[in-house]
Amino acid sequence: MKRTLPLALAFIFGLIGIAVQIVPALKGFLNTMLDWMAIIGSFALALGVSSLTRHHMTKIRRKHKDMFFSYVTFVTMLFMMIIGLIGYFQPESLYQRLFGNMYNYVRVPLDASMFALLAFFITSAAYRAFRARTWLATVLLVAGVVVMMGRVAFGPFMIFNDITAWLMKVPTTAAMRGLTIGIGLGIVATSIKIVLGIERSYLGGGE
Amino acid sequence: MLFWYTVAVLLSLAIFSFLWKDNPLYKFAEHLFVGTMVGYTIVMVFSQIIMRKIVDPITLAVHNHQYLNLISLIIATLIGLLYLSRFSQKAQWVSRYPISITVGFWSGYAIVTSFKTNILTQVRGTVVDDMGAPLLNGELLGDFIKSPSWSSLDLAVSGPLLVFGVIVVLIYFFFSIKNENPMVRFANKPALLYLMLGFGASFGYTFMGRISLFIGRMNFIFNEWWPLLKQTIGG
Amino acid sequence: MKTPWYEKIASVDKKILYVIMFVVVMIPLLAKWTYNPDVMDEVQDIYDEVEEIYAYNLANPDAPMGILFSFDYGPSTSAELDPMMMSVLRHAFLRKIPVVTWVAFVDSIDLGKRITNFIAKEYGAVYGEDFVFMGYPYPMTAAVVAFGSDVRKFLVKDFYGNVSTDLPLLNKIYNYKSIGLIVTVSGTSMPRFWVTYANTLYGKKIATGTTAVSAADFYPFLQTKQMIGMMGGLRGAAEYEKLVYELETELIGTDTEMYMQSVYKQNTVQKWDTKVFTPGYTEEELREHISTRMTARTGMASQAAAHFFVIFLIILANLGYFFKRRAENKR
Repeated sequence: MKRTLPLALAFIFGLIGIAVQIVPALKGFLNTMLDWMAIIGSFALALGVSSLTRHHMTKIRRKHKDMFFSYVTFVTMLFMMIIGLIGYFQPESLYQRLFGNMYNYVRVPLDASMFALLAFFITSAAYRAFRARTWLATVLLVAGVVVMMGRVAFGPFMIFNDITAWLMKVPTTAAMRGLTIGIGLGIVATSIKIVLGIERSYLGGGE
Repeated sequence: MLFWYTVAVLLSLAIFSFLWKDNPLYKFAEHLFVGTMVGYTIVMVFSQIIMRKIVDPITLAVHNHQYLNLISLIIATLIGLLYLSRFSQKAQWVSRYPISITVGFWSGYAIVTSFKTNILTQVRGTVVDDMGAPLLNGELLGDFIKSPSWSSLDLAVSGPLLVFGVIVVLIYFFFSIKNENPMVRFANKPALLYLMLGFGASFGYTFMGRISLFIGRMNFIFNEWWPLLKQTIGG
Repeated sequence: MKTPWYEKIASVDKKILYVIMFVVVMIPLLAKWTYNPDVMDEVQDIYDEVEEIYAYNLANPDAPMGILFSFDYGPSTSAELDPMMMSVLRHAFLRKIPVVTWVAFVDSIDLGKRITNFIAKEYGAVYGEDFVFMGYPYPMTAAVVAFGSDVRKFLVKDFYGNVSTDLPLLNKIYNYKSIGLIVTVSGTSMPRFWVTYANTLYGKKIATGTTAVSAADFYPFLQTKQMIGMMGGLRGAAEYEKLVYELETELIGTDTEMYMQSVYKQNTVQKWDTKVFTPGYTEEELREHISTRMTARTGMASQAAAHFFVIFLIILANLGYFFKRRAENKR
């Protein structure tokens, strides 16, 4: 019950997954399956959100020196939740507009700015770590610099634009294709293992 | 409008203050971010997932008298509800049923199409180009010898170089661990050359991407907020 | 003993680098320089595909082809990807091609909604007839596969709560048979996902817009034409922006501001749903609509400055490294 039935279900539904794709007559059944997956998946997502909320609640309860900031998170979360839910039931209301503004002018700039910090870190990393120590490192460095030049080339530097285009078209395509085929083999192998019940880590621990 | 734009600018600056050193202003902004993100997700999961994916289809099926469809939706909902067993320590294992159904189904569904996308078509692309012409075409080399130019050289060597590259990279990935086979040892150096060219190009691009994100922020400050401020104060 | 120069440059405080970086990026923005890129083949291919759909729709007005736009990115990569999405959307609306949009992540729902409506408003497009926004069609794989038969069954309502079968556009365009192109703009590996499910299973043409970080990963799919074209990073965005700018100038002239206002001057019918956007513009909004037509190309000027600065840094650091090693070898 605890282990065998889930594995049997994975096997049966795995076969269904293969069948609905390659047998055209099962098209109607495919749509039923898609509805099922959407509904079951929705519960999984709802569960994920509830555990995320609990995680932040427990963080508040635990007393520590950065308590104040945990409150900031908690209060903003509650605030977003309340205005969002009221806004959902009263479209075009002040609440909905406030919710939209909180997203566009608080959440979006914060997210974008945090990622923008990476610009500075990569600059400092390029200055400190990008050295021509071995022939391989030299190749890496030269390719990197050529692409950096090529993507912003103008006037006399246009030759870098052409070299970059070729670098992407031939060596990069070849290297990335090796990786792609590797990834593909990985996906196919893992999927087969899941259907056959060899790979079981998704069931979690315990008996 | 100006109020919200100014809020956005101040919060961006608070994040940038981290470059100087970690400080309470940055911490405040960071926690504000987590709060808005989680709050937003809760609202959207309720309105876009629970309402739209579970409640709406069921109510519409009732409304349109599609009872067979309704039964199927209800079965799916019951299976989904098994996830709630996660809240109990003892009955937690029940949630394995919905997990294995979805994981099993999507794994089965992925096998054929992933194989075709990442392996078959990619291997085909290493033999012929998208027009069906072979990549290893000796005639093109002849053309280059007859009338040497950069473009005819590109046509003549690019195909063979691509084929050679894919083969050595694959050999490198699959057999490179302590293998004395002369073929494998031969492939080692050129494979690394291809990989370094690829990763170097990738690094160049990565650098470009990171800078763009910063430019985006500066663009907001100087090309959107600043003109708005001038407009509001001036007029 | 005096510290040699190569020791000094190796121990420069990173805050100094940060400050210079700030200045280098700021100057082109303040000076309003723009960068005029050469259009690469992979970007031109996307443009040509959209033009082909336009030509097809002219010949078949009763059964037009639409474009499916997928916002597969979140706010963190907006700076690179918004200009791409906006440019291709502008192209579609300029050519009156039916547009279906949705988002792939729960974080991006408002982002997708805002940009879709922002561009639709410029051309007076009517919700439900010219474009629809389907919100977040969770789970994505199911949605992409469901589009193969009838998306109205899988997504029974659109984002705004309208029943899908009540929307005239969705009654014309409800499966892949009437989708001419899928545009995925993404900061993740979503384009690979689109190739796996929409291209391999349904033979759909995929046009990719991607952050520069992931650009290199997708070149193998370009060579096999599993993707018909790709816009990589801000540079790719600038190229498409330029193409659409030229087309717009040709079709509606240089005075975009007047054109946009004129759309809402004839108040004959109340056809625009205020839930989607309010007809007409404030002065601030007008300025924003005009300035987003240049975002990528102004950004590229700063981009060029930053690249030259970093290349200079890399060369300097390597010279220092070279001389330091030489000095060590002598000792």
